[in-house]
Amino acid sequence: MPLPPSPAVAASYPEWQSSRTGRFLALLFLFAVVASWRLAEVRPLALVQAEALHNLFAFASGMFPPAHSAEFLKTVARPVMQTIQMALLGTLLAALLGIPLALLATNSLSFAGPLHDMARRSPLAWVLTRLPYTCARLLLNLLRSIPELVWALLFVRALGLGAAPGVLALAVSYGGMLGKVYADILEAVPSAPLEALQSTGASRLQLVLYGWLPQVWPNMLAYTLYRWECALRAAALMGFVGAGGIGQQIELSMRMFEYHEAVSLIAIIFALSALMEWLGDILRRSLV
Amino acid sequence: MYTLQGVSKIYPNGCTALQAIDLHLAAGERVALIGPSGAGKTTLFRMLNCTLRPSSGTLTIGGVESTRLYGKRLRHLRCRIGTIYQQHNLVPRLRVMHNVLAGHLGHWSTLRALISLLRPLELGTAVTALRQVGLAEKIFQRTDHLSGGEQQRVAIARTLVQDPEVILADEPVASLDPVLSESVVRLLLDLATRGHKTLLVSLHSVHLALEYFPRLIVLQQGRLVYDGPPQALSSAALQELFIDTPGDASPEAHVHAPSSVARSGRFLP
Repeated sequence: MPLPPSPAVAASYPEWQSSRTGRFLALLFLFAVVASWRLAEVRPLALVQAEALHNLFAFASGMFPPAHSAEFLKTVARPVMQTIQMALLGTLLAALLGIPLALLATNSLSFAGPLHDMARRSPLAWVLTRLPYTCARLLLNLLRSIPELVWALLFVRALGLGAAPGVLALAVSYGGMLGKVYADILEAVPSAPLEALQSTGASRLQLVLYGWLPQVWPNMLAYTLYRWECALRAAALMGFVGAGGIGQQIELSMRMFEYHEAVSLIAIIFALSALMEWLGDILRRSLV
Repeated sequence: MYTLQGVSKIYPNGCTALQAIDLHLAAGERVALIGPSGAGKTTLFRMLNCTLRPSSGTLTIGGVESTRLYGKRLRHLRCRIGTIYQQHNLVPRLRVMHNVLAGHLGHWSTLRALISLLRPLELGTAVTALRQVGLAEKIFQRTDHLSGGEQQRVAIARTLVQDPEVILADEPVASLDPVLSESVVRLLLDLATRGHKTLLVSLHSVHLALEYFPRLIVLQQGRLVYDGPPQALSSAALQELFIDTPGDASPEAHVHAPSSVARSGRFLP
């Protein structure tokens, strides 16, 4: 509710008072947008100036026709396969990492809400229930904040060049993202069916199996499929830092000004992305 | 079985749901609970089934004080108490058989619970229970595809599978038609009498309470205002209490011979 109809109404209903916070936040957001625009010196008109247009045209004309010789395609076949494999394995490992962390990071599983009214009230119990939650949330934050390319650099230093550092980089950074979203989905589950299950004597793990998982797995699966698609694009970039995939080939082609090769590779990524989106749709519709 | 002394419950948002309740329920008693909406009936049920802790006063369940109930002991006690909630007490996306078999969770290990999700264990118990509430054909359907009344009966089936010593029913017949309501109440009473179970049922229908229950307690604005045989409550007092209740508010009109369908306690197709 944005604005009360009259001061008399605002005075008699306390709910209008709380909407003042909402209005203040909206104004703050608007101010932030304007300030960011000025600070970032966004000038879209610069794109249509003569020099910029000339550069763009030179870039674009070098791209066509895209490279499609048999020799070229044979060279890039293996890196393309590697990219697909990196994306799949990376996302799978990320989900395996994200699920346990998400369970720890769900406050309604550990201490929040009506399920825990009968829990012990001692200070020790308070710490023991909140500590894993805080640690899990902090860890997920950390994993997410470091960009996957930086993780890739780290792992390349540790393990050398190749696809393995790329997979690990994806697993770790995407694990953080998946874990956070899984935890948010888990926390949004309505507590009434869970309370009913708990009243039959179900243990916490049984509550997760019968109460939480059935209500959240479609959402979790949908988000994981979306992340799998993003992982493909991220895996394509890993090569820029030597962590496998076609990124290395793209970088090489760009550096040698062989733009037509670069655009072929990008077209391949686009096709793969579209294919995965289609596969994901079929999977989602058949399982839900 | 239950002893409440000066029990109050104040929710974190400041709302006082119950005030200074003194109540004693012996094992095997059959009690009806009546009260206008917002009187604190659901809060009382949630306290009796070990979901909520009293804000003040003492609550003793089966000889153990509620503040000393934790972990395994709490779980075993909850296993012996079955609750039928007013609404939203089933997991919507699960199939009916899993919701009904959840009644076993109190004594199943986590591994058995997991296996049952993949391949239902002890399915016969679920079939028997569903037959008793007349929903045997819906066993493989998804719970959220059933109507409100059917879902309520599935919840009752779950309690039948759990086979607890105490049955707490919070308005179990609220979404059912009058004939079905009477059948369900008779079913619960039948179970309680045959199994020597303690039964506490909250009802909006004054006539059902007066006809079938030897003891009546009345809640109003969080306070217990009457505790005794239903016949002793004057009709004037009842009228005053239920001035807003829809349906049969007149206690005089409650007496009638139940039909043969309702008498058997089972549902004929």
